[in-house]
Amino acid sequence: MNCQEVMELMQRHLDEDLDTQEEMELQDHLRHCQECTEMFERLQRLSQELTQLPKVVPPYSLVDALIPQLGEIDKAAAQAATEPSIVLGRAPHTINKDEGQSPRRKWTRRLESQFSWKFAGGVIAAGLILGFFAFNMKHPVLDNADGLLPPKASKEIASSSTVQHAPAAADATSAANAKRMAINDSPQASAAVTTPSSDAQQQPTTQPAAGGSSQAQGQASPDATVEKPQPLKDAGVDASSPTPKMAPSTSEPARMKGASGKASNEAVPGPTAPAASSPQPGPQGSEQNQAARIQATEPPASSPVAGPQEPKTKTPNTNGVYSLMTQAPVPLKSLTGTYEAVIENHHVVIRNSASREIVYTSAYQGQDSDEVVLSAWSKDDKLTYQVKSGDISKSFVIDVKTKTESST
Amino acid sequence: MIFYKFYYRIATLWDAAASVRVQEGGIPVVAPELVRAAQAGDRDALITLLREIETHVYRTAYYILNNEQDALDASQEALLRIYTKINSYEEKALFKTWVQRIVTNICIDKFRKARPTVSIDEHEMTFTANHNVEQEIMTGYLAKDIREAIDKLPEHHRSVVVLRYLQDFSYHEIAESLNLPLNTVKSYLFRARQQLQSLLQDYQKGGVRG
Repeated sequence: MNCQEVMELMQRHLDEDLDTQEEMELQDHLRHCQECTEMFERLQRLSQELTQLPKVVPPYSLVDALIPQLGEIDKAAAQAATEPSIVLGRAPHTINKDEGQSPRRKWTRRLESQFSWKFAGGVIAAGLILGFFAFNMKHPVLDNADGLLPPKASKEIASSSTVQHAPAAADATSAANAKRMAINDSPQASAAVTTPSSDAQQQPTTQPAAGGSSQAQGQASPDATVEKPQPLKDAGVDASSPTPKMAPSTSEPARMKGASGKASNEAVPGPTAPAASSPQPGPQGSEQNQAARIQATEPPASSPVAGPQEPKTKTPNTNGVYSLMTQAPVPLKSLTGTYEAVIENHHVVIRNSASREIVYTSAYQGQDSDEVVLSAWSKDDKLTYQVKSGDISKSFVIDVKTKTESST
Repeated sequence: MIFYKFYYRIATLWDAAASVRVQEGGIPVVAPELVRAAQAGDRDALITLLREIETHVYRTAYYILNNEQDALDASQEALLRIYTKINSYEEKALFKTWVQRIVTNICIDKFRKARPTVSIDEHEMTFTANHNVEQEIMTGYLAKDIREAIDKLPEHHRSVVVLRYLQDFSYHEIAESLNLPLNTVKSYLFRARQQLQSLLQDYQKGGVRG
């Protein structure tokens, strides 16, 4: 038996794994091998010391410290268990333990192990700052960008083709305006970008986008009856939302920075801006129109386009332009709720609330200076209104059922 | 030096006398009924179960991680996992090996991350052994050397040593806990002991202990 084999016997001796025969072989060898005897002594001492390592106990009760957490887990599990237990017909606690919580724990652990909290904190802080810029300016560019991300390759092509057309539209004043605006924007946009590398990507992409947007304006405007200088500016920036799409290499945060950077020097969109392009998609610029329409839903209710989508407004929702003009009068609903009265062109128009059909239009022909005021509905669907012509005030009563009108 | 010789003699004698090993480190057998009750949804039984094993969980974590704070974190994580996964335990394995598998896995996961700096309160360990004062001081020094040496072992070797000496596990139980073949467990343990004795010999020669 060589010393190598004896080493294993010695080791197994320490674990009391030797039978009598092996024990004797070991002792035989040790008797005439000084080296192995010394090694054996050292190993025995080591094993002894290992056995005597302090039996440490936790400085406080770990279970006691965990009890609040365990309670939360139970609560979460109870919630998670209510539905699955019915569906699967399994014992609730099985679901608690196996399906309700373990994924949560795993998730947490994975997060802990792969990300440092410093990194996560940095990302969150950056997100908060960007969020501040984006929302503080009440600018919906971010939402537009999100809405445009899902579209398929065809849309991508559409957007790039509009960019190619952009120079053609550049001689139009609106295009020039938008473009100048974009150029003015870009240095500031890059100033908002923290990483210098994304500056380079940001500037070139902003300009083509603005070019495209100017075209969007150009195509959208024929549909629009109202056009103000302000929309140019807004549309120019709004339609720049395809920008992120055209720069796919740009990382998500960088795109957001670019968008918010532009947002930061734009005023709140003028109320008429979305309306200008929203009602009917232009023949070619459908994407830009879509972008504008998405945006149109964003501004507060004062935006005219929001009118048709609001259930209480009385104006026909088939025509965005019409709605734009008739937004101001507040309709007066009958007590039964069946009818609504509204003043249009100095006539009192009564509509059926549900079908929106015009039931009656007042016959009174006043002058332009006359002021028509709706007074009140009576319980039997009679509408009283007043016409003030200078100092003279006349009262009229419309009976909707008989479709007659009488002055009082 | 005199102290050491004295200790050495006592240790050798003690070792010879202790052919039947003192089982103070091992996990007391947790009653299978308790485990079953816990699995059946008895929350009190589950809490009782956790209380019975928390010290053993902590001890393993302490010696694998060699750091009190990490050990506390790891043991709490292990206890939480046991709490939520009690139903995944099957009786074909020993409960104590199932528990130790969970805690060693967590420790090895933690161990693979960048290890923190050495803890300052290394000597503020809680002793439960009732040696006389002289011996306790020596054990303290020795324990420190040994812990340093254990800390130098690769993670699986370290786990094997900890389960063997702190949990008093058999080869088979270690194999079950670490999900390793029996021969691998033996080879890890033997190599670990050789490496440890060599490290400790170096400490000795360096005059640390003498």
